[in-house]
Amino acid sequence: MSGFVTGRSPAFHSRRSVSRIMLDVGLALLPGLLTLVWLFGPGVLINAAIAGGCALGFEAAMLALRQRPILPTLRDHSAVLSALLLAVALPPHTPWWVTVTATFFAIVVAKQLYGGLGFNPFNPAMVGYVAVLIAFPQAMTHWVAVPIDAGATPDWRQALAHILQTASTPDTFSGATPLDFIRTELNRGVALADAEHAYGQPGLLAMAGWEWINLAFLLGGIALLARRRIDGRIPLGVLIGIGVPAWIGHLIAPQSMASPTLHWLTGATMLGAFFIATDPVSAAATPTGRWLFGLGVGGLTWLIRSFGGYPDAMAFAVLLMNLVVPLLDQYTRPRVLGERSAPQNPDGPP
Amino acid sequence: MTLMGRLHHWLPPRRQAPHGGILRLDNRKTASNTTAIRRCTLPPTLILPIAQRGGGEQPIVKPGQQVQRNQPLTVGTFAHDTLTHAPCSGRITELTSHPVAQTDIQRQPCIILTPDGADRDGDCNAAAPDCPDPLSQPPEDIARRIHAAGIAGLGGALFPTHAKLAAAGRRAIHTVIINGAECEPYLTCDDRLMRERPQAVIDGARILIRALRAERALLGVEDNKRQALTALREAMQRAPCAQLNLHPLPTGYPSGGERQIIASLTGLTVPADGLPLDIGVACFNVGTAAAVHQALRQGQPLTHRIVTVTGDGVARPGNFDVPIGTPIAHVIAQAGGYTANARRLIIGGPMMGVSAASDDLPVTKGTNCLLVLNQSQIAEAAPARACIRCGQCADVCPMQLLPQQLYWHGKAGDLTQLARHRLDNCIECGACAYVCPSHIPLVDYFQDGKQELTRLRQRQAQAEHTRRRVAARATRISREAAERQARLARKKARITGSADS
Repeated sequence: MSGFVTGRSPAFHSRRSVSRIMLDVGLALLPGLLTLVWLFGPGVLINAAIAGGCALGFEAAMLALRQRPILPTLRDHSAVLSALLLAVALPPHTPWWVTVTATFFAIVVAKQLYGGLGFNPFNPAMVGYVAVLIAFPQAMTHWVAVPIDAGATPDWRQALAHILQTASTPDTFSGATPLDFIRTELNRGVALADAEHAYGQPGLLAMAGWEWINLAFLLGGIALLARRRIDGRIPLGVLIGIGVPAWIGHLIAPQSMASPTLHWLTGATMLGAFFIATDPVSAAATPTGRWLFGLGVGGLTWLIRSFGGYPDAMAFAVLLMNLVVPLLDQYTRPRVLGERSAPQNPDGPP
Repeated sequence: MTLMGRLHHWLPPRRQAPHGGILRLDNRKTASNTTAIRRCTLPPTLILPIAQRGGGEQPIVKPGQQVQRNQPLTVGTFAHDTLTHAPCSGRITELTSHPVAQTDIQRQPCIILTPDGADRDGDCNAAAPDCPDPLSQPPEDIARRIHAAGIAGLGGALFPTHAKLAAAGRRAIHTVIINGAECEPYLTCDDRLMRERPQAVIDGARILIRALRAERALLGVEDNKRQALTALREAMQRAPCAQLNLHPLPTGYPSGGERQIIASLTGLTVPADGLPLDIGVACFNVGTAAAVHQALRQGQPLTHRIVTVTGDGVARPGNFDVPIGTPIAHVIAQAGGYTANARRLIIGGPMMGVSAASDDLPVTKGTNCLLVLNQSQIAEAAPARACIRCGQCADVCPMQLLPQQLYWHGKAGDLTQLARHRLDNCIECGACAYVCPSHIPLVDYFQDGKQELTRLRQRQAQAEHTRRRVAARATRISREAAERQARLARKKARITGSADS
């Protein structure tokens, strides 16, 4: 008998796929997303819908321009995941045009112009986030005010009105994040403990709800780790990179430097550690490189939060570390089984 | 897919000590390992490839010639050849080229033998010539007799066994490893061999210890082969030998890779740019050990081998003792033929085997498995997407390479970087391609890259050779000129000298 279908070896596959990984990461975002809805109302869902729709549209348009297959590529779910990450990173009542601009930068500039999924040196969601953070700082620093009383959370109608800007945002709905507030107070010379107290209703760990958000993202992150969808070295590196300098700083100057707990459980720490920095495309690829990448993201985050010009810094830290990824990969090649000496200098003679 | 299969796909790969197999695969071995080895009947014609593994073998028979069973058909130089013997008596009908599957499918010169039916099926092992006891023979004689029996590595690599012994002779070998891991899914030929002929495996191991003047032999068998382990253990109790040790290996692909099994059993690591012999270890497949036993105890050259015929595409899967040179179609017919949905024929296992379009290829000494898959099993193939640098490939690579970097450098055609990232150490086990979520055919890229590297090195060697020749010629010319000058000067001196006197 002849005419058998020939194919490559191996003949079988583990059934792991890019779409499946992206889908799993998206699902793992759910606890964090729901916590955001619980604390800040449905605004984040509207943002997600706007960003998701735009991401699919931009991706399809760019693929058409680049004459690449459209539907198979959209089915890898990477554009929707980037949009989702953007939506949870942006303030819940971000005006719609800010979200659209951020999505444009993420999908068109950071991803497709570099050659699409797999070729982007920078994390697309963070490029989008930083673009609008720099372009529209006013819109980006206004989060919904916490504390929340029962009934004070904006409902669908109010959230939609704010996002579409058919109504002006009442002051009662806007406020600063704890990092932002504490930073302002510290700059005014207020002691850390007083600033934390002044921020308002103490939550579980005196962070007025933000600890719940971070714990929810941590939960999703642990699920991803358990299913081996992300490499544990990166999030652990981030948390150590933030925690160690924060601990030392807090020991030296307890009145002006925030504690590791405050750093871990406020802002975008858990989201960044488990969902942003772990994007494999723009992170380092070697085992040692991934440790260094995580530590670098954590360290830079702490540095910018403590001494830089922005209240939170995860996005900047990730993008800065994306810059050094080629260098990390080049110099951290692991030793091949049975290789006696350390890997050769990559620029040396073969 | 079975429940266990689903479970295997869901569970994360088990992390293990630095080396050895780490990939858990759905082994699907029970399809073929529950029935005893069956004898494959003689086909109407046998197709016997002359050259083995690029050795310089030449035929010593002519078309029309009558040959006897076990008669050598080829001759070569001792260093690298593997002789071929007639599996049965018959007439040589032709010397021609025929497609043969080795690392890929190529036409190769073959001897076509038509059996005459003079010897019955099944009396292969009759009438052994007087065999001196190998355990009291000098090791050199053992190597010579193994050479005469045409034995090569039956795990599939086909490295001539006597050549390995000869190479080892120059170094001190302390440990012989007998590889019964059989880690690739579907394959059960070694499993059945160990269950049914454990004595042959063990005796072969003892002969190999003697041939290498080694101290011990370690038998490694994956712990999913309980019956094989029991059979070997019982055989070792019947014929105790202090030099032999049986070791269950944790199941995981590719635990049977040469460097992986050496690391698991001895804790020693083979240097990346060296051979097992460099650290005093020599590794043989269980089938090779059994073939050594047959050759030295019964005078039977290697004319048959055990082949697993399996997959959903064959009616009655099982293991067969097949005469070398039997067309695959004939072997499949012995297993009840194809089922209606048979769509893909793989020579070898599902991870490393070669996919063939037609079943007119012969079984060679390296053919351990004929796997026939049906439509539903090949429909899984998905188109390749871009690499997302997830690093799963590096996690499962048993050689601790970076398949992903190799892929990028290979795509860019950067041969220097490929060499620096040690593409040569890739064993093409397919673990990386198996886990790749982008379905990139990584092994294909690596095979191409290796060929490119080989070509580059040949070009460099050639250039170096030319350079040396040019330099040597320049030296010769200048030396000759100097000599001529000296001769002339001497002549002149003689003439003027004689004129003076």
